[in-house]
Amino acid sequence: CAGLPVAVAPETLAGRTPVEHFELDGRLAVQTADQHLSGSLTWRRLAGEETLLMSGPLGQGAVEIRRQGGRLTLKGADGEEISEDSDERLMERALGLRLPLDGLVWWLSALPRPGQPFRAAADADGHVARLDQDGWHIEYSRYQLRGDRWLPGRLFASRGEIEFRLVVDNWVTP
Amino acid sequence: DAIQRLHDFAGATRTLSGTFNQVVRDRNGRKTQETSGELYFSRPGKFRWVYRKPYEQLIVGDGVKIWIYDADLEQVTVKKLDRSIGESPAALLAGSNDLDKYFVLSDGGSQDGIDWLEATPKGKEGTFERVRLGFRANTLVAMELRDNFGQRTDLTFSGMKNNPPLAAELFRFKPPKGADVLGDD
Repeated sequence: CAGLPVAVAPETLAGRTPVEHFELDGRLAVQTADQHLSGSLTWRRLAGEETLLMSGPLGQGAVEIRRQGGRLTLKGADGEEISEDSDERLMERALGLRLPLDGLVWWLSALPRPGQPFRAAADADGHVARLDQDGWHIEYSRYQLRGDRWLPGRLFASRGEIEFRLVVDNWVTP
Repeated sequence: DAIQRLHDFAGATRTLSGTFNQVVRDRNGRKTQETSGELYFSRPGKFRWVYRKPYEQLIVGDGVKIWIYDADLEQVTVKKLDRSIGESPAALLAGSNDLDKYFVLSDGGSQDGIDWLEATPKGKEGTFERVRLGFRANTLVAMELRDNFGQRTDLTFSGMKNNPPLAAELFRFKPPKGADVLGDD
């Protein structure tokens, strides 16, 4: 992309809020030390209910995470379920990733999650191109205007041996 | 009936080519994906599934492994062909003829000129609840897949040719420069 990303002063991002409720369809690849998942992702986050579903190429669901009230449940294609009260614990048990879902919502909107130190750099258009937080290094690209906001169309995030890549095909706020 | 039709289809067609349109709907019926492209099959175990629109993705079964390349993710994943194809819908098209080994087959009735066949995976850890194949005469025209999460995938096929000559390199995959290759290769 044009020119090297330029450091962003933290206060310029303060006070900004992520897209909170949405329906997102995209493609995701998750790689950890011992497993690799790739396929399509449907992430539906509404006021009272949240569902993330990862599926194979022909729409065969593989892993679903549902949040209702404070309870999070992960269900595999074989029907096996595990539940937790904290999304961080659930993600760790399921994918070996300490990744709070609520934090992902901020990162998805190319914003640092609140209350944690971060470093950010912007591209030539002023969009956040890189974000370092919680030991994660995230690269943003393919920004698109969605409604009245510029949102990233592609995220490559890595932390040690763990990497996830997301391409956003469709992102609608209800 | 449709079961005989599938066995005839499996027996008679060694290669297959055509175009497809794929629509995926979530459990609430919301369309989450609509893609189209071309497909090529060469039994047993060889297939090339090319997604053209709205994004570029390629799935190649070379008889030994399944390669999936996504241009936007800049990544290639590779899996062994054995079990994974056995129960997958691709097996219904590209698998060898022992479909009864992996699926319980039953007649799904006919509707507006299409004879439907139902295939229910025998294995429990399969990712599908049910698959339906639609035939018009001895041409495959549709496939419908329902997974364990209420998701429904509808595929419609057109321009299907039975036993076309297909070049061997259609079923070989060479990772493009710069793409990561991940998996048990």
